Amino acid sequence: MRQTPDRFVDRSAAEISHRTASPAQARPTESALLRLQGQAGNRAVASLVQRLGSPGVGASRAVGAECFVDLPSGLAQGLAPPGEEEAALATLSPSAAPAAAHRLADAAPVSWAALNAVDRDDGASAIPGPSIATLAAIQAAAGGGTGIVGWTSFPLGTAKAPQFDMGSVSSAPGGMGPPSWSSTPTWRQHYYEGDSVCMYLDAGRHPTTLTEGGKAVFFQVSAAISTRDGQAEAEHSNDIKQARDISIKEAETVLTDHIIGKPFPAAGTKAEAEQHVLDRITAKLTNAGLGNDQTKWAAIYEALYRKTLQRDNKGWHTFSLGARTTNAAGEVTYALANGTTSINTTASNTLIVY
Amino acid sequence: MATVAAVATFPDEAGAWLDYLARVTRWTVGARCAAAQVVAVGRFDATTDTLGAAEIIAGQAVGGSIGLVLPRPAGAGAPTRFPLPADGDRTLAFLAQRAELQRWRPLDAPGALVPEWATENLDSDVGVARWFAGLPTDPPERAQALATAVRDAGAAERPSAVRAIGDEGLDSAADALQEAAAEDTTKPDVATLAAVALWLLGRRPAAIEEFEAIVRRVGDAEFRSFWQVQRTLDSESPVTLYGPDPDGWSHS
Repeated sequence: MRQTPDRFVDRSAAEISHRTASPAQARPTESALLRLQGQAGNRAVASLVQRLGSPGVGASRAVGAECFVDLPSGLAQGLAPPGEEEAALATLSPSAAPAAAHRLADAAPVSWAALNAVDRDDGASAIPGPSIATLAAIQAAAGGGTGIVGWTSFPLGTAKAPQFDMGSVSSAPGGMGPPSWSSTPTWRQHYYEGDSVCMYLDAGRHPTTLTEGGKAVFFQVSAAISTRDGQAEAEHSNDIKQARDISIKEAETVLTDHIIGKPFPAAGTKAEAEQHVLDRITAKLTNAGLGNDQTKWAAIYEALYRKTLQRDNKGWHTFSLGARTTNAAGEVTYALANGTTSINTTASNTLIVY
Repeated sequence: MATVAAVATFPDEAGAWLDYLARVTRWTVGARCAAAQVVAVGRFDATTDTLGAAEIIAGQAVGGSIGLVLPRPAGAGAPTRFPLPADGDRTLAFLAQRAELQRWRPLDAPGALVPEWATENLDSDVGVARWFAGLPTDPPERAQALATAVRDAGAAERPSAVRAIGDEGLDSAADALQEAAAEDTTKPDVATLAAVALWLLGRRPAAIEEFEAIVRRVGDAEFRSFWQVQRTLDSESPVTLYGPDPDGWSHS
């Protein structure tokens, strides 16, 4: 395995760029890995590396919050100048770091063919499913909070709505008659659902930050409560995915299938030409509430995923403290009980709606 | 986010019980009215964080649309002191201060915002808020009005009336509390609140006497169950009890 920090995919530096041994040779590429990264995010790449294990082909390793995927010469055929090895580095954003510790610790080798074969919607998602964690890890990820026993962060600051340029040009045929305007939209930015962490409590006896009479307080979590906690966080994760599907992903699909690079009728003014584009977006939407104003799509995504808070507000994810016991040392242990939880009773597609 | 509801512990003694109950029953509708600068009811718009078509029940604010300053959780969902309404929810709001031009911050109290789904009967709560806001402000008249309410008002208003006498130190209305504490009902909420109000007025022997009588009438286990208080499993003396703490973990 080689480490080639100067050869990497860096989402923060460029949208989807690729660097070879010589920075001067940097060029766009259509590799599946890069496409996956661009469409589903760095964490998807990391997740994929962990999920797909093909021993003997390539190599990978986790280094802190970074995952290196080295691809041997040959497997990257067609993607690099002959004789050059390709390397991809998935750099995790800081907000994803807590989950990265879970997802990358066991990174496994993966074949280029496997990467190419992956369907980005088949689990390779930047919004993760829940990872098991200690109480301390969960509360640290949540920024503190004595009563927090599960955490799913919002993809604030990392999500992106798809953006396009109208590509409107005018032409005056032969210098006679009024100018004619036409639009041929082009991509400015692909959608990215953003980074999120999703953690739930492991079974066992967890130390807390609480004390009673100067004695330490513990939470005892049964296997059943741990499972229920995981289901609660999975609901939040699924809610965010549902919000993504009916907002920024739908916008991306409409743009891909009906707008970008497509011909539109000419019109007498620029505004009229661009109205043709907007009208087609409107006509192709499944969810009319999304609208055709690309400046609002990111906010609509956020407003939709924030509806998942209803599960917390209504007490559907609120456990209670059951039996309280003390030991000879005076330490206090509370067993977590179901409380007012109501889980798997309201589907994401009924809660996350326009 | 998943959370575990906060609890408070206290020894199984009358005085500790009354201290605990004084805290957990603190925020009646009336108490929230008394603490708020503006009380309003309207429909919540999540896009603009406003109460639309708001009726101003108490305080000075321009009706029509009231802007709110609300917490913006970074995840699902950071703990808040009160439930956040969803878009379109009819909501009763107890607002503490103007945070900025045309925007108000909710009271720092459980129940500062009451979406329709967070209460048994929002119309009833709104009615109590209107009644409380209309009470006389002159202390003798107010004490008289509250004492009358303790004796004759409906089930919705009585807890607020009882609690207000204790909170506001209206000792001239103590007789009404004594009568309410002696009520023999299967639901001991008003009687217990009356004992708590006597406790807050500083009439401690009377409060303890009434409290112990209530527990005897209702039954020890039933009384604990009514207030969702549990006994520790160990044989400490006095036994440690623990029950819900609406102020949250930071206050435990």
